[in-house]
Amino acid sequence: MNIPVVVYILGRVLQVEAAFMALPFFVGLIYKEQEAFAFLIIGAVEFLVGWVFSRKKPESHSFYAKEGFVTVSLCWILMGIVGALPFVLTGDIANPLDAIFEMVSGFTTTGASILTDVESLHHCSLMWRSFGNWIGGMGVLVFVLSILPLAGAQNIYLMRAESTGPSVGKLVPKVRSTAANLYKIYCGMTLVEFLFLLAGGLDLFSAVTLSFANAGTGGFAILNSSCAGYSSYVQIVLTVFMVLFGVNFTVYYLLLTKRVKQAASCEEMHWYLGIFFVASALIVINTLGSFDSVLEGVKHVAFTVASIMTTTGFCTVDFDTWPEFSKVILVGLMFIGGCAGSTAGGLKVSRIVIYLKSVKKMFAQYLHPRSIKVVKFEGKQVEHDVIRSVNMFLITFIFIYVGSMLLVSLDNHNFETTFTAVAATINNIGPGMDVVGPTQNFSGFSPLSKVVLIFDMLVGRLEVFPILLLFAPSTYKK
Amino acid sequence: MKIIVVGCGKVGYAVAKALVAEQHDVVVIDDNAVRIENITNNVDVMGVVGNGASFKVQLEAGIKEADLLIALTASDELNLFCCMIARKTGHCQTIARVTNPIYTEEIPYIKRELRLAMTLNPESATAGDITRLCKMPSAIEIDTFVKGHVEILKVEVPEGSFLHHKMISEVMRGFSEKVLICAVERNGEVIIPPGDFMLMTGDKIAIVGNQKSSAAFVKKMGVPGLGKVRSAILIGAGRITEYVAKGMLRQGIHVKVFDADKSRCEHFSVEVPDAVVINADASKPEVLMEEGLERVDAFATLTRSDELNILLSLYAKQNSNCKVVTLINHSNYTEVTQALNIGSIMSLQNISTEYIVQYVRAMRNSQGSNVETLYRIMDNKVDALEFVIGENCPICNVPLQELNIKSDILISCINHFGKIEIPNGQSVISEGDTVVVVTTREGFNDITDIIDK
Repeated sequence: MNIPVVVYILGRVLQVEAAFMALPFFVGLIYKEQEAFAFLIIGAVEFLVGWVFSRKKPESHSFYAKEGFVTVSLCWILMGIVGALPFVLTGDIANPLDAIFEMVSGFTTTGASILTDVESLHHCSLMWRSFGNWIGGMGVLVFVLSILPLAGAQNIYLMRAESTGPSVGKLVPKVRSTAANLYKIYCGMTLVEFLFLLAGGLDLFSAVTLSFANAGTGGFAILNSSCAGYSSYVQIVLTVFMVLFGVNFTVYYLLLTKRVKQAASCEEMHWYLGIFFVASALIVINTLGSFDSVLEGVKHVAFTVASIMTTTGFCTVDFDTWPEFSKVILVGLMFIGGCAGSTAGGLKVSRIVIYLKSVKKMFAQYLHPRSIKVVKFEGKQVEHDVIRSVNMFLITFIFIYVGSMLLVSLDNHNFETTFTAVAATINNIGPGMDVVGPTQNFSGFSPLSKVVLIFDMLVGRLEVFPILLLFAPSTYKK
Repeated sequence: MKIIVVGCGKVGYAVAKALVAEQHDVVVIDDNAVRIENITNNVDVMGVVGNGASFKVQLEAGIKEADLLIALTASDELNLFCCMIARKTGHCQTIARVTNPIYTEEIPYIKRELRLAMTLNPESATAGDITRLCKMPSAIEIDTFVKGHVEILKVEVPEGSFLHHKMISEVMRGFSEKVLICAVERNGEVIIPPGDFMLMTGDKIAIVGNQKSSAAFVKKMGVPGLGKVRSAILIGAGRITEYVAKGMLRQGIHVKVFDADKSRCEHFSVEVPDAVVINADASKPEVLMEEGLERVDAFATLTRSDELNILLSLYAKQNSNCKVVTLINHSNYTEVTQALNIGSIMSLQNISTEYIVQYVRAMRNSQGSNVETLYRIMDNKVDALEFVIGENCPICNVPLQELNIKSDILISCINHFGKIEIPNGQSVISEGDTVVVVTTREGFNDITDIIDK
C-alpha cells in the first residue's frame, strides 16, 4: 500500500474540513456567541495538522482500489471525530461519544440525533450540524477532487469508493471536471431551494440550515418539532426538493447539457418516482380518517414518504401513530432508499430493480432450464460481475444488519425499536419507530450501541465495502 | 479538445493515453466491457460500452460536441463506417485506421469521398520507417522533417570513435559538412546538449542534416561497416512484411521471407511475387543458417509475437553482422527491450500515437497555437516542433548567438524558402522561414516562447 499518498490526501481533507469550519465561526460571530471561537481554534489546529500531513508530496503516484477504499474510510472516520470536537469544546454536547455520534450522523446524512433539546444549541453548533449534512451529501473527497490537481486517472478509485450506487461512471471525460460538475449542480440546487424557502417567509438562518440539511438528504432540523411548525408552503417546497435530491445527478447533468430526452428516459428515475407515488397513494388511503382533510393528508403523507424514501428524516407528523400497514410500507421504503448517484442512502433503487430483474430471470430459467436471458437496466446489459457484486452487497449488508441488531439488543429495547434503530442508521435516515420514532431520539442507548450505530452509519454511507476493507487484515498484507 | 476514440485495443489504448497526456477530453468506445473498465481504471477517460458505428452510442459519447473522432478498431470497414456516421451526426473531423493493402491505392479516393481528415496505417508507416533504415543501416532510428528534406538520424557512438571525450563544439569545428548534434541519450536520459557538452562512447546521438552530410558524418564517426543493404531476411509473412518487402524490392534489395504457415506463404507469394518465400519455422536455428543468415545484410523480425521477435533478433545479432530490426507489437516494457541487444526497435503503438498526436497538435494550431507540425523523436522523449516565422517576429534578423534562448532548446534547422540551412551562431532567421526547434520541454505555442525573458 502506498501510505504517503493516503497521508497526503488525508492532510488535504483535514484542511478542507478546517476551511468549512469558517462558516459556523462567522455565524457564531453574527449572533455574538463566544462559543464560535471553538470553531476557530479547532479549525486552525486542524488546518495546521493537515498542512503537516500534506507537506510532503508523495513520490510514488501509484493509487489503486485498495488505497481508494482505505483513504475514503479513514477520511470519514477522522472527519467525524475532528468535526465533533467543537461540540465538546462549546459544551453543547459535552459527552465526546455523543458528539461523535451527532457529527457522524451529520456527515453520513443520517440525521439521527442524541439531543433531547435541539433548540438549546448555539447557532454556530446548529449551523455546523446542518452544514455537515451538506458536506457529507456529495462527499468530501469528491469536493477535494474537484479543487485539487491530483493528476491521474486513478482518482476514479476515490470517487468510486465515496459515491453511491452499483457502478459509478463519469459525467465528462476527466475525473476532476466530473467532480466539479457534480458540485456545481449540487450548489446550484441548494441555492434554488434556499431562495424558495426565503420566499416562503423563513428567516435567513432557518432557510440556510434547512436547505443544507435537505440537500444532503440529512435531515438535521433546528426545531424540536422538526418541520411540523413550518407553513404548508415551506413543507411543500421541502417535499419537492427532497424528491429532487433523491434523483440520480446524472439526470440533472443531462438536462443542463440539453439532452432532455436522454434525461427523461432514465429508467431508475421512473422506478423511483413510481415507488414514491404508489407508496404515497397506499398510505393516504390507509390513513384517510386521521387527517382533517384529504389534501392535508396528502401533504403530510407525501412529505413523510419523500423524507423516508430519500432517507432525509424530516417529519411533520408523528408517523409512529399511523396504522401498522402504513408503518410497514415506510420501513420497506427505508431499505429501498433513493437513486444511485444521488445524495440519498439506502440500498438504492437501481439495486432493487436489478434484484427484481434477476429474480425474474431465475424464474425463466427454472421454467426453461436451457434458456438464455440477460438482465437489462437503463437499456444496457448488466454485466455478470455487476450482478454478482450487487448480490454480494445485499448479503454483506444483511450480515452486518443482523450483527448490529444482536449487539444493540443487549440494551433490551423491544424488537421494533432495535430493528428500526439499525434500519434508520444503516440506511442513513434518522428517525425510526417507537423509542427512536420521529418525536424521540437516540440518547437512550448504551455507549456500545452508539458505537455500533456509528459504524452502521458509516457502512451505510460508504456502501459497506470500504469500511469493511479498512478493518480487514488482508488489506495491509504485502 | 474533445476527442472520441473508437476501439480500445493496443493502439486505441496508447492513443487515448497520449491524448490525455496532452490535456484533451477523451471518450473511448468499445463493445468489450472489460477493455473499457481496464482503460477507465488507468487513464482519465470516460468509457462507453457499445458499437462505435452506432449512431446512438456515438450520441452517448457526445459526438455533437466532439472535435475529432478516431476509429482504431481492428476492422477497416467498421472504422470507415464509424467515420461516415460521425460525419453525419456531428461536426467533427474524422481519422480512420485503414490497414488492408487492398485499400492502399484507393486511400485518396476513400479520403475524399468520405471526407476523412486522415487515414492511419500503422503497418505501412512502420514499414516505411524500416525501409528507410535499410538505406542507412548504421542509424538506429531515422525521422524526416520539412517534407522529407531534412533527416534526423539516431546513432550510437561506437567504441574507439574520435568523438569519445570530445566537446561538441570541438567536433563541429573539425568537420566541414553541415550537421548538428541536437540530442544525446545517455543511460536512458535525453539531453539537449550545449556546445561544451562532452560526448562519450555509448551515447546515442541525434544528428540533423541532409542525407549526404549526415552519411558522411556517420562514416567519419567510425560506426562499423554496415554498407549498403543488398539482401534482407524478413520473418513473418504478415501485413507489415508485405509493405516492407514491396518497399525493399523497389529499392532493389533481395528479399527472403520466412513463415511457418503455408497458406500465409502462398498468399504472400501472390501479393509479392518477386520475394523469395520460404515455408519454414524460423525459430529453428538451422533453418536460418541454411538460408544464409550469416551473409545477409539486414534481418527484420516482423511476426505478431513480441517474444519470438526478440528471441530471433538476439540470435541474429549473435550470429551475424547484419542490420537487425525488431518489431514490438504490444509490449509495454520499453525499458527492458531497450536494454536488449536487438537492433532497431519499431513499436506499432508509438508510430500510431506519433501520427495522431501530430495531427491533433496541428488541429489545435488552427485554434491559436503557431506550431506547424510536431515530431517526436528519441522514443517520444524529445519534441521537434516546426514553426513558421510570421511578420514582425522579435527574433527575426538577429544572429542566433545574440538571442537569449532557454536551456534544453536547440534551433536545429532553418528552411529559407526551400533552402535548408543547419544553423550556427551567426545564422539569422528571417520572415517567412520555417524553423525546427528541438526540445525536451513542453508547452510551446509560439516561436517567441523559446526566448528566456
